[in-house]
Amino acid sequence: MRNIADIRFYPGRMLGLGNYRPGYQAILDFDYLSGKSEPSIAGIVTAAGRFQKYFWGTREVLIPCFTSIESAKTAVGDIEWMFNVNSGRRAAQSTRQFFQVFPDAAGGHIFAEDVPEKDALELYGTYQLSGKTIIGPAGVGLLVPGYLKLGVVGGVDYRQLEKNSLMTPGSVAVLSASGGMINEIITQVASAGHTISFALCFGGDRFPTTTPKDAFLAAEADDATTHIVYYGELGGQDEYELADLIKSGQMTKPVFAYIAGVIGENFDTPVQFGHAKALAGNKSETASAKRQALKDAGAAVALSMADFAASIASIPTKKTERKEPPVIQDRKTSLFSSTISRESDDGYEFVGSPLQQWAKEGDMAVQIGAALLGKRPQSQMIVDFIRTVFLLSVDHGPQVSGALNTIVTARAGKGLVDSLAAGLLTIGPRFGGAVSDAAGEWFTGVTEGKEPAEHVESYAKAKKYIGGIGHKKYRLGLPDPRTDLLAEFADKLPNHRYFDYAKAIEAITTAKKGNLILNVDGHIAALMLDILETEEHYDEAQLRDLISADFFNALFVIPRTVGFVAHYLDQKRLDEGLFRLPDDDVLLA
Amino acid sequence: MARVKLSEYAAKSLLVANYTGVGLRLDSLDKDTARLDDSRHYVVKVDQGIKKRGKQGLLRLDVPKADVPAACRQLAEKGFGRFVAEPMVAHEEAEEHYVSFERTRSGIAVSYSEKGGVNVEDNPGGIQVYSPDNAPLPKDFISHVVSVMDEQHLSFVEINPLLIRKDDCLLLDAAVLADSAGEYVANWNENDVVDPHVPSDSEAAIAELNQNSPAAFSFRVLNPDGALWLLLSGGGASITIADEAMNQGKANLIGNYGEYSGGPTTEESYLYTRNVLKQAFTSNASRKAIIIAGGVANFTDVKKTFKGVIQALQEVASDLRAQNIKVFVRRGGPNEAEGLALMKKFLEQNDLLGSVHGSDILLTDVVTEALEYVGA
Repeated sequence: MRNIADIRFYPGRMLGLGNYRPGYQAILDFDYLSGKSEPSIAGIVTAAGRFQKYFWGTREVLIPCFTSIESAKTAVGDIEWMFNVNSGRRAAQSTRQFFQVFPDAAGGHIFAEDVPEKDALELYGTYQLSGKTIIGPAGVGLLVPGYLKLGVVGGVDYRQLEKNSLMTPGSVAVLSASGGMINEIITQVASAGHTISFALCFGGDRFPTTTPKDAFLAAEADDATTHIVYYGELGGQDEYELADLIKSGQMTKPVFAYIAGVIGENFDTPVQFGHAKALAGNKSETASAKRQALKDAGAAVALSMADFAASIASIPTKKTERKEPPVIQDRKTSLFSSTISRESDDGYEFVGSPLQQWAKEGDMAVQIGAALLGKRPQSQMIVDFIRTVFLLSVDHGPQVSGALNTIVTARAGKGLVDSLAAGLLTIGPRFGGAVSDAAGEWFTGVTEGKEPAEHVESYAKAKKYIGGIGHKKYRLGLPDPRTDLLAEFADKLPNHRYFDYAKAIEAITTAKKGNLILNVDGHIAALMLDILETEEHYDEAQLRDLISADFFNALFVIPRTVGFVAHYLDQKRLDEGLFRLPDDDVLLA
Repeated sequence: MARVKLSEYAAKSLLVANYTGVGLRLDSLDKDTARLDDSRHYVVKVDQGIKKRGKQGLLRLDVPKADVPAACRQLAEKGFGRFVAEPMVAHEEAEEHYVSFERTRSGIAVSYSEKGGVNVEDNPGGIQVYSPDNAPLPKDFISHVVSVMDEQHLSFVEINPLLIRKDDCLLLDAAVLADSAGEYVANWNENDVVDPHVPSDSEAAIAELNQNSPAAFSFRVLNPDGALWLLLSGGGASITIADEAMNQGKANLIGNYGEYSGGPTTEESYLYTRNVLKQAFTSNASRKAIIIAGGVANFTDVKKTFKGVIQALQEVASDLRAQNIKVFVRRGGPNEAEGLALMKKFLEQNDLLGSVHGSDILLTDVVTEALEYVGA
């Protein structure tokens, strides 16, 4: 297993696997109280949300969430540990996935009880024996005061951490089979005036991945550790290995031990106690026999908890300067979160820059790009593209549905906002709102490797329109002058697989019918996907998120808003009075 | 969360291809007997995970099909309800071998003794331990058992006697421990698990609670007339606290062992407590105490669990007073101060207070206080 000194030198960051709010919060509290500059949890793999809010001291921070370990890989950077809180059924599988994605990680902790013995042994063979450090299954993990809290060890209430000085590195190692008892003993050790070098709970399962022997050798190898306090239980043969370590001189540091479970010897048939291993199948597995073995080897073995506490108190206390942790008080959960907008010393900030800064820069396309992406655009290309799209999309005549509704509403005597809303509410799948649909088409086609012909055929069979294909007026031989301007962007891109796909679709559909051309929506969708991918370095998961958030329709909605306002003002200037359809324009069927 | 014993019928159904034994239950004897072959004679055995059945008279040999129900009823008089009938296999005692397979950290360990049968324990030196590769048994048989163990999450398989006739291995008697954590992928289920112990109502109710919760609950009556009734949290702390009564020479006063852990909800804590109290009331000890104790929890919320415990105590507060039962508490962990204050207030108001302590006293001191109260 990894050296404790190495962990102090580089604790590293961890990935949480599964949902466990109190456990994660306690790790952030430990980090904060230890004076770290950032949380050691880099991300959480869970289906629940994109971010989760946690307290960092008294203020809240967002920890990014991912639906799979793979999708976390690029976003979180270097990871040393996993804190795996998945159920026993999923623990082994998710652990293997973790090491596939993060082969250089140091290890992790599996929290679940009920991990099958066979799974635990396979993890032991595959990972522990090749140098990884997996603590568990079961138990509460590893704590290196001031550096790493990997698990619920030491408590989930920050007051427990403070009370037992768990942010201050010390000299007593606490090793335990039981999660509850490790915390009990930590409390005993702390109340006797000691500080802890590290606390490791290998768990009460029959085949813990990090064995008691591993834990002992880690304590021996750790220069900061001067004394070892050990809690074991009836069942299994581990204590004989520990006794051998002491007898053979591999362990030289004093060991204070308590082996629980003499009560088991009071019954005729073996009793199964709380932990899976806690059953004495034969005499050598009884608490008494194991106590004797450790005692014979030279460990100080307590016969009762009172004895144990007294022997812990007899360890000479070392003067350690206790870290005074920062105070945590008045925590209040926020009701909602925002990442793009905040008040700062310079007034209001919007996407990273004060508003006056935006004004000084003076380029609206950059600001709109930032507004849409939630961060400053990296490339000039996307800014130029947004500008072109906006300039082209501002209006397309008073006849189109949205403009018409704005005009009719304005002439009914309504004001700016009502008339604009009437126009905006017209935007949908048949008018202006097909950019997102088209983006979805091109994205699915490309990422799933669908043949364009097959794609078209599936729509033909379902008698559905393909988003981004077809125009009322323009056709082969009568091209839409706007699309030429957009298509020029493809020439500037090194790769444009989405645009190529869309054009391949167009080749098939126009062969069927001349007006089934790649329309403005289809162009915008394809080229925006290509620009995001090649110039802004979005991965497929991020693109998929943008599609499901209806991001692409914003490229129509924003400029067309200007157009609707223009039509409203135009109508006010003309002031033609209430509009009513002439009777002969209505078929009374 | 531990190794559990499977019935011999279930075990052999997993291990033996075309197994011809039949499992019989007392309440469906005629139906089960109908599955037997008219022309054969059977050995009928109690199938509840009990060892040395021959020596205890828990089997009947050479029973024709028609007499199987009667044989079962005879065995049922000793309190058993679950049996297995298998075709008789005539053999010499000299043919009987012993073999067991156990999952260990270094792989499956095969223990084999040329001389098997009922007296194998008289000759422990005869048992040699092998790896599956070098065990002196037919290779096909070894690899079959090992693969069934892996697929079915079996931890321990003991076959005694084992007959080897050419390449055929006959399993006359088999005892199997399965890994309960693997039940969800295996072909056996909780109905195949046997326990020689007949559970009390409270034990059964808590076992069911444990089945239906992500938290862990256990409860085992050790002495129905015990004076100390334990509501303990945590696998380790519960043993340590029970040990303390043993240390003080009073193990016989302990009514039960049990523990709840893994962050139970308020409702689950209530149900657990209610069943422990129910059992405590039936004890005939002259003076009784309830010990509610645990270590310093890492993540189990003291306030939340104590709310459930108090709710259950509240329901029977007058009965507790009538039997002069006092409650002794020691607990630490998240929301320790709030949980303990709640408990102390409740116990004082209801005249049930033995003592209430937090993590400032030793875990086991509360046992001493309770023992003093019950006059031991």
